[in-house]
Amino acid sequence: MELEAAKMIGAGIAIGLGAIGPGIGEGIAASKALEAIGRNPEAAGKITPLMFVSMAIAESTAIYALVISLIILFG
Amino acid sequence: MELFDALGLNGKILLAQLINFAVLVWVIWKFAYGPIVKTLNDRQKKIEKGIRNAAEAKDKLAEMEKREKQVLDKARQEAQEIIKKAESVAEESKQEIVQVAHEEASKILAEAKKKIEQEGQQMMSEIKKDLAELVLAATEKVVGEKMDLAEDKKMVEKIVSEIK
Amino acid sequence: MGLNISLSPEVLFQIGNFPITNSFLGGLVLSLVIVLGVWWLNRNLKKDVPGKFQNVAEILISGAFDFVVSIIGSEKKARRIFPLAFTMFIFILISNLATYIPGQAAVTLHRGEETVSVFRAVMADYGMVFVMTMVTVILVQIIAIAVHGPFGYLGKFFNFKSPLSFFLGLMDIVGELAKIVSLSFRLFGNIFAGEVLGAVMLFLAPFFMPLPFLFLGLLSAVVQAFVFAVLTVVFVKLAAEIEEEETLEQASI
Repeated sequence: MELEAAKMIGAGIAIGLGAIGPGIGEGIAASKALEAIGRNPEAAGKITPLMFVSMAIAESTAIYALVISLIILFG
Repeated sequence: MELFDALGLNGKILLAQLINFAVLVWVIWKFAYGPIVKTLNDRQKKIEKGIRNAAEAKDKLAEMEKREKQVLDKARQEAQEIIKKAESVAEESKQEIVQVAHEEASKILAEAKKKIEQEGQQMMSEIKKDLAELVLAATEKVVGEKMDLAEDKKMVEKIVSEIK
Repeated sequence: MGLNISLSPEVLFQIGNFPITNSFLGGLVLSLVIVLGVWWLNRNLKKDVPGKFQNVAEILISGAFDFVVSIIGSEKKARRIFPLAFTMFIFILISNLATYIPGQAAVTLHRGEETVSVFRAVMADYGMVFVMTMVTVILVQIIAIAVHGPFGYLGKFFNFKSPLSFFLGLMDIVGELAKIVSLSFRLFGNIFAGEVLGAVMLFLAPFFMPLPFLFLGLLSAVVQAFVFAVLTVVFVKLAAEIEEEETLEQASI
């Protein structure tokens, strides 16, 4: 297998696998936040920004995967 | 670091971007954030002051209304008193006048009565005198002789006075 | 016509030996727009009856300020960090939204063999994001040193009480470095991925297909600007806290 092709495949696998966890995690965060808003609609203003921040933090792992795949591709 | 090259990191551009960003922060701080926060604070103070002023004015108005009512009440009371007083004075003077009138009327009446009585008496005495003479003359004619006697005259007078 | 995806911003021309890249030029132009907007706002600032633009600015600033206060807990501290965080938010937001002005992809510059597009999302330039991240991270370190003192600051990372705490201290160093990577690559990755996605969709099916992705990109444009500014504030808050914060929380961010 050529090195280039291996790099491409590796980068794809890296970002693909790395995105699974945050994807599930963000889904859970959003569903819980929506549940909470459904229970207590007055708290929506407080919950929404916190949800975005926690989702952004959960996204970190996907970001690391992105960095790794970028390093594989271009580094 | 090949990745840095791949990402296009360049010292000069980074410096320029840093300066650019710093200028942006400074501009927004100085010309947007500062003045707007100041404006908002000023407006908040102004609104608070306005609300306080409005409350004060309301209080003052209520107080003034109260005072006005008091003054009005007092004036009404005074007027009532004056009217009462005037009424009583009028009543008094009316009574006085009526009394005076009564007195005068009774006085006039009494005088009139007295006068009438006097006149009546006078008339009566005159009539009596006339009557006595008339009786005397009639008797003279009936008797046919002159009754010159003092005794007779006296008697006739007595009879006449008894008739009344 | 092939896909033209480049991780780094392309150089448009050189002034002396200073290369002007397309995203740097875009950043300058957008900064100029912001400065002009601020100048206009400042010139037409009315004390009592705000105009439309001033009204929007007031709502934005007072709402954002209240939010920062609610995160950081003290109005005095919030007043110090707010201008930086707010500038980051506004700059990122406007840069992200500016990419949705249509027709930008069509403007290209021919330089010999390659064609270079003149416009590029400012936040898809890692340099700009890196600069802002470094501002945040260095500021956080300065605040941590100022609050904990130099020895307290170093003691957080080099703890010789027990092997476990030593290891956790080392992890803290990794956490600080990871902050740089995660904070900057989150923004860069999202915007760059959005650009690439848009380009690919435009390449595959130019009509209607890119629309859902555009809406998604619009959402992420706003959310990423918000997240970047909020994380800056959160980092500052964590650094300024006196009590020992959980290392786990630090490492994961």
